[in-house]
Amino acid sequence: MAPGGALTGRPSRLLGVVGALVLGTALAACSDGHVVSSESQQLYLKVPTTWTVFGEHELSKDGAFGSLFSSAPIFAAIAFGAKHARPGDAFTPTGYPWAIVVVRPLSTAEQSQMSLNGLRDVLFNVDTLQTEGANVQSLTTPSLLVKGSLHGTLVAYEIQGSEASSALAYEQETWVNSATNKVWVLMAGCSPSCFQAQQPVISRIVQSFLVTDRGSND
Amino acid sequence: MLAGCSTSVNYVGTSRQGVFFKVPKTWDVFDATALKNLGLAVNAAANTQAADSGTSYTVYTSLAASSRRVVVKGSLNLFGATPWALANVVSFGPSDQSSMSLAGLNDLLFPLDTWQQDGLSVQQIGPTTLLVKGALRGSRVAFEAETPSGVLAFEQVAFINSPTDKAWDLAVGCSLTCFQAHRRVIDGIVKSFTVTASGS
Repeated sequence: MAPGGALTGRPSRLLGVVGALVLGTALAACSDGHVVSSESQQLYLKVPTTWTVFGEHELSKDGAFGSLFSSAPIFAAIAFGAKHARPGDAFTPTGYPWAIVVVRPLSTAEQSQMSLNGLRDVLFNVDTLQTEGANVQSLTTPSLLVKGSLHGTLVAYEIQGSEASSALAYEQETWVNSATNKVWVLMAGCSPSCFQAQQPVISRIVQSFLVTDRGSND
Repeated sequence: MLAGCSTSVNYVGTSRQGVFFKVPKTWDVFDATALKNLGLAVNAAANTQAADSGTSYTVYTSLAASSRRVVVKGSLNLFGATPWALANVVSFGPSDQSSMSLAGLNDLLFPLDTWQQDGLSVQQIGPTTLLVKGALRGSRVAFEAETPSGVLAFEQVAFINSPTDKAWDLAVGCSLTCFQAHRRVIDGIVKSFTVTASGS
């Protein structure tokens, strides 16, 4: 059974949702990409140089983001593969790709119930969306990830809401620590046709995602 | 199975599966033949079949009790006045691996969820303690459970590894009155439970 995810609600509403709150985001542009990292949360990823990255200042202006989470993120950042994108375009079936990285604590109930299956639901509650009638299709076989005390999954889904225009495809890598009280999530996606066209770019971003936290205090 | 000695305890466990615990020296540690007679011996052929079919299976079992009287008419009596300690190492198939959670560890040795669904009373005695040891995560918790065969009280400690494909658990218990009377000894055995496997 999957735990309650951070984002719930009908796909059409969910896919139109906006915003973010970023704490201590470090952005650095290099020749082959923008580096998005957090020393305190021990994560790193790289997006193409042409992408627009929203850091703490921009995201904090959008209050809607924080209200989407059952527990407030410790860290969040959003990047878009378009110049004109706004933070609110994340999670929507855009014609250009986006990537959102979130670190958030797990509640006591989530900690107790969290499984490898449940990791897919920490941003989008896929189980709930499916129950509510969304057509959820797994695009790849979920992969188990293990790095010392951290464990996680790599999944990809296409979610079709009640309206054809609300379809969304994404790849998600999620890590949880040994105490099962903190998750690191990277979700990258866009509309299904965009996802197909941008698959190499999205895959490179996901492959660049690195959590250096040891996952245990020992 | 290892059964070493010191001045006051016997060590029970296996280095191969990276697990051991201590029981009072006065306790009986059941050997492979005794486990087989009780239907608790690991069945290599069944395990191969389980592994092939992707289901979970037990790779190690050990049993110790304060007296041989824990065996009544050839069966293990978990509900009597004789404290027992039962340890398992379980290898998970893909389905259990995907769904296993810290809460799920409670059902490793006894099907508490099933008993509850069947209308039997299962009560947690005391809080759940989260345990983290490197890449191993787990919990320690005590239950009083009404089962189809009787009422038992036990304390359980369980760990699972980072890939979530293997778990180590120990339950120590007996009847409720026995459990209360032997609380200190039971606590000592549970505390001694050590998993030496790396967990990652």
